[in-house]
Parts: sequence; structure tokens; C-alpha cells
Amino acid sequence: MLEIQEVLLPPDLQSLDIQPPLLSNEGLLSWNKYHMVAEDNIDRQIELVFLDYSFNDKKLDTTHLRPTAPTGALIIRRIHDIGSSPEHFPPIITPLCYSHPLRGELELETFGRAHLERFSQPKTISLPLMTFIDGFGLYRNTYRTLMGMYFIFAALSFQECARRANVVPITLGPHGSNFADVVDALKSLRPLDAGVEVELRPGESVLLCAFTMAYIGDMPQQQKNSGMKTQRANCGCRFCFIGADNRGDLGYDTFENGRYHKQAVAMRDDMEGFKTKVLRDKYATKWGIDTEEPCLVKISPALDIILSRPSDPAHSEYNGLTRIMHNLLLDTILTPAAAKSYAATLRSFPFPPGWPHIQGPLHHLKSYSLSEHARWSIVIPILLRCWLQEKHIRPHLLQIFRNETKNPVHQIIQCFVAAATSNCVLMGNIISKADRENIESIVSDYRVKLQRLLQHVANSLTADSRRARSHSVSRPASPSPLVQYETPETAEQRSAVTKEVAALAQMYINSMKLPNMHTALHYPMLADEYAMPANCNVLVGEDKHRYFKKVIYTTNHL
Amino acid sequence: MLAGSFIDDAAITRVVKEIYNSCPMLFSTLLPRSEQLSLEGSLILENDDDDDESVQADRQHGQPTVTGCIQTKHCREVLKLPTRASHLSASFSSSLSKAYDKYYHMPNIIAFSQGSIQWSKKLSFFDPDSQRRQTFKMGDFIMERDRGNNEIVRICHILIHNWAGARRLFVKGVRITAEYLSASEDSVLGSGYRRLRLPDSAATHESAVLIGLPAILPRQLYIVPIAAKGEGFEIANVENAQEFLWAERTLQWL
Repeated sequence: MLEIQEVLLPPDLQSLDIQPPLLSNEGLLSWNKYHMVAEDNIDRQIELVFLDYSFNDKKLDTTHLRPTAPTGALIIRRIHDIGSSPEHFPPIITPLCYSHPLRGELELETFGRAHLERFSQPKTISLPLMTFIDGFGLYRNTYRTLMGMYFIFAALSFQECARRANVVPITLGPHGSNFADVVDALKSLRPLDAGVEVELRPGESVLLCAFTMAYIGDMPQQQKNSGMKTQRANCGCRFCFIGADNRGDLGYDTFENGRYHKQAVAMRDDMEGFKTKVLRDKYATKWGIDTEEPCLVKISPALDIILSRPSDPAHSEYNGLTRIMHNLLLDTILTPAAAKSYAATLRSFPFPPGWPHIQGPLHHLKSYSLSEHARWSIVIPILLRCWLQEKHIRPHLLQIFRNETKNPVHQIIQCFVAAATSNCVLMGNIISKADRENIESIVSDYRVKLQRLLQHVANSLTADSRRARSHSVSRPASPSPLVQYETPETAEQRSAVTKEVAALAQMYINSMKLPNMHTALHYPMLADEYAMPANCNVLVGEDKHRYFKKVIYTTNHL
Repeated sequence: MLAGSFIDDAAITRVVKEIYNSCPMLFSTLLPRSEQLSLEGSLILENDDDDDESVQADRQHGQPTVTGCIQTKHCREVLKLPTRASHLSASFSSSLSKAYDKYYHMPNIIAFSQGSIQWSKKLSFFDPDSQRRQTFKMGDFIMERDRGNNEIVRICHILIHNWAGARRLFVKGVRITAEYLSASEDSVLGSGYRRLRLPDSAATHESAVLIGLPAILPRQLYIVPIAAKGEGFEIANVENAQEFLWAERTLQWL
């Protein structure tokens, strides 16, 4: 069975005013009309089709020479979308450059048609893999990282995927080695990516196609894997061109400003076209591109470098935003006495059956693991619903909330509920139909509420002069109000402390623009590609790291 | 080999499984924890704990056992629970008959002239889908697989009915109906969080149901006992609580 995307030809489009006008041999790819057709019902094929991904792409250098359509080819350079209300609005015509190429299209382009025809042989085994890449330290007190590269069998069930035994280490890159060199050593995987004939049983030859369908890892590693600058760069999102100052904008148009595989490849070509390194660096900085080519292309040449490097919700949600929520609760929402009471309540609060409790947050929050943040995010809405009262909230923050709502306690609780809901949608084994349809609004709603909370907290800090006076001068990065140092004040100290509180308020304002805040905009796209965002989580890979950290002590290590 | 990966090598697989059954500790250093948990459920044939009672299994409930068996005398004199066929009241006998019909497809049982009942504190079974053992105890909530809706039942007692040559597991509990669940969303927490209320004590006796093992879903529910306090509520003692808060959603963690 083939899924076919319809192409609209000029006779179908006579009523439309399209600019620039349609070429006589041009067709529009439909985004709405798909057909399922049995292989036997296909009569003939159009031999020559040219997909023009550079048409109307404003990011590309117009002076650079691009491939042109061969004579007699059907040209596809735009997309026809009837939109959500076709009866009220005319169709939307979009350049093809705003679309991700099909996986099969890239394979055909890389390996050629002859390669595709090899799959007609009687027995073919397809083994899709998720390849996890991440650096980790074997010892707690020795900061020498190894580069772990593991295969996870993507076709296994959720339960089977989560088994440590089903995570296969491919290599461990030594500390200090170049990542490109590590990948070079794995060049033998490239034939497997295309497919090799193997004899699994005597006399029985099969075509084995063991290919990486996606690389998974944390955000810095994925930026590197897709040939982009780090997430902290000005244009540091590998899925779109958002600037660092706008990362808090949850209404950003990721479609029009998105990055696409063909565009990324063409932009790299444009960059390589500059004669001097200075010009190349300038271009790379402007667009957030790494000057070094992504080395994984050597072993997976047919992969989309944008879509095949999905975000990891475990890091962005658990270790990123959930950690911020917990810090906010302890440092800025609860009064010092309430924070102690909260910690005591958490200690005895019932957790879901079979879930271990988490460490005490007052002293151990900084050493929480991803899983502890995850478990906390599920328990905290119910704990707050049962425990939180107005007397527990810092007076200045309470006043700010009162100006906005009748019930500040409920508003704060709802922020934590939104966090739990978003985490469950992104990291749950099961996702309901309604949640899947609303994934974008669920994830965005959480971010909006968190941003509002951060703004209120920052406002309350600047309004709270008493807090400023009682703050420790010696803890500028993440001061905790739980430990207060009352010292005789001098004018210099007062000034230093005021600056410190201002810096803390600024830190919360800056948290509204974190890369983890922005990455939410791309989860719906990844849910479309990988069924559920949780399919791209790295917990199982991190678990393998944990295994190595444990067994290293049973070796003759030095 | 223990998980059945090498079915072609039946002989050696059998030997390894026999070794595992004789001495599971031998493998504890070789297998990761996740593997050990699933193998415990699927391979160990006998449990050393004398307190355990094995019962009739089905496709979705492997190796079911109950633990913490309650002494017959205590059941009879303190808990006022029947332990023999001759002690069965008419209403209990009728409920048991209906449960045999609904869950074990054994209709039209008029009377239980023989047999005995063993009451226990915990039940557990191996769930083939999650490859884990699921354990429930008295006071826990279970989800009952029903034709249309899955319903929530609070476990009051766990019993094994030893009758007609088989030992079958039932749970005596209080059912919270689907109609009530659909209208019980918490006003502050919103969707995904439901308030559950047990029937009043007078109605509890009437709403008690017997659920057979085949209808128990292998799903652990996060339900917290609560009690009203002012405008909100607080955590309550699980034994006396009449109201509960159920968080439906869950997520993965390592």
C-alpha cells in the first residue's frame, strides 16, 4: 500500500491568482489530499520530477548557483493548502522550502534508485534504531567525560525499549578525543544504513537494513549533531531562527521562521562559499550555524539533519523547568517557615504506589536526579492542594497575586498543575486522544503560567525591601532565603544587597527566555514525526551510563 | 535465555531455567534489576514464603498469589467473615454466585455446599504487558475491567474461594460508579484530577461487590485520602477516609 500526496496541475488551479504565475510544467504539492493506493493499482509513474527547495527562500544567497530543473521535468516549488476554513478563505500557497523532505526522498537522493529497487528481493529485514549520544563521567569526583554511543531498537515496545539489556553500546569515546574522530571510527555503519546482504542462516540470504532513524541526546549534544551552534548562541535553536531575546515569545511563527533540512544544507554551502574564515564565522554567528560540518552525516547520510535530532523532554522538562519551579517554590513563593513546613509535609506525603520518595528539598534539591524532579512534579499539585494556604506565601508576592485574582492560592496551584499535565503529556507512556490533539496548547499553557509566575516573583523581589536587607551578600548566584544573615548594615552593604536582589530578580526575568522555554514550540512537530515526544527521551540511555558508573569499580581501573 | 530469546536452543534454555528456579540469587549479580523483577514474576515456580497461597491464573494474571493470610479464628470471631460453606449468609452466597457467573463464566450456581474461604491482606500477580508483578493490599484502589467503563473499586477484603477443585481469587470491595466519576473533577486542579467519595457507611454494606481476579486491571492508581478543612481540604488517615483525590495522569521516570 502506498500513501500518495496529490499534485495539482495548472488546469486544476485556473481560478487562483498565484504570484509568480505558474509555469506550464509546474505542479503544486497538496498538503491536504492524500490517497492510499494499492501497489497493483499504479499504472505508470512520472519519470522526471524536480523539487525546487530554494525557490523563494529568503535565507539563501540569491547569487549562489543552485541546481536547476532538467528539461521536461515536472517542477514542484510550492505547496497548496486549503487551510482550516476552505469555504471562507482562499487556499494558501507556500514555497516548498517551508517543508521537511520525506525520509524516502532523501534516501533516493543519497543512495539512488537502484538502491530502492534492491528492496524488491524476497526477504528484507528492517531494523530501525535510535542512537543515543551523550558524554558522561564515570566517577563522581573525576571530571573526565567519556562519549557514550548506544543503539536502542526503535521497533521494540515501550517496556522492552526501557530494558537496560536492550540498549547496545556501540562505542565509548575516550576523554579528550575529538567527536568527529569517534564518528570516523564508526564509518563501517554506513553500509548497514543503506542495507547489506547477510546470511543469517546457512543458504538464506537477507537484505539487512539497520539504520539510525533518529539521534537522541541532551540539548547541547543535539545542537552539535545537527551542525548548529550551542543553544545559548543568539540564533541557538536548531529548529528555527529565533533570536535569544525573543525566546520567551510563545507565539513565535516557527513555520515561516523554521529551519528545514534542504535549507540548512544550502546555507552551509553558502557559508562554505565565502573565501575568508572571518566571513564564514560572521555568517555562522548570524544564523547560529556551527562552522564545522555535522560529522554524523558520514554515517547517516540520508537523514534529515533537523527532524532526526529531536529534543529530549526529560532534560528540558524535568531538569529544566521542573527544577526552576521547585526553586521558585522554596526560594520565593513560600515564607522561610512555610518552606520548612512544606519539606516536612513532603516527607510524609503519599506517593504513587511503587514510587520511591525523593530527597529532602531544603538541602538536596541541587543534587536531584531527573527522576526525582519527575516524581515531584506529579506529587506537588496534590500536596499544594491539600496544604498550601495564604499564610504560607510571601506577603509581597501574595499582594501582587491579589491585585490580579481573588484566590492567589488557587492560581499558584494551577501553575504546578499545568507543569504536571505538560510533563505527563510529553513523558507519559500513554497519551489520550484529547491530549494529543491539544498537545500544543497544554505545553504552551504551562509555559505561559510559568512566565507569569516568574514575572510576579521578580516584581515581588524588587518590592520587598525587607527581604533585600536580610539577604546574604555572599551568595549571589542562587541565594536561599531560608538561611538569613542578620548583620549590622553599612551603606556599602545595603547597596550591595540591593544590587544582589536586583540581580536575582533579573535572573528570574531571564528564565522566561530560556531555551527550554522556547523548545515547547517544537514538541507538536516532533509528536507528529515520532508519535509521542516520550519516544525520543533519553532516560534509557542515561540508565546505561548509570550501569557503567556502577561496574567500573569491579574492573581493574586506575 | 531466561526471557526466552533462544527458543531454538530448547535444551540449554531449560537447563538455565532450572538453575534459575533452584537458585535465583545466583543470577542477581548478572542481571539488571529490571530483568530480575520481570523474571521473578514469570519464572519462579514456587514461593518459599509459607504464608503465600497460589490461585487459579489466567492469561492476563500470571502466577497470582495472596500473602498475609488471616487466621480463621480471627476472621470468624473478630472480622465476622465466613470461612466455610456452612457459614455463608444468603446475601454473600448470592454475591459469590453472581461473581462466578460474571468473572469465571460459571453461571447458575445455586448453593456452595462445600469448600472453604481463605481471607488475606495482599494479592499479587504477574502482568505480561508490563512484565512486572502487581501487588494490591486491603484499602488500595483497583480498576475493574468492565464492558463499557472501567470502574474503581476500593479493596475491603481479599479472599480465595477453594471450591470445585480450584482456588479462585476474589476481591470484596466498594465500587465507585462511572456516573459519579464523570462528574467529580476537582475544581482547582482541573482535568486529570478527580474527587472520589465512598458511599456512606450505611450504604457501604449494600454497595459491596465481589470482583473476580480476571477483571482486575494491572494498573496502580495514585489516590490520596483527604478530609474537608475550611474551604479546602487536608490529608486524612487512609483507614477512616471517606473522600479521596485521584491523579489520573502518570509519566516515565528512570
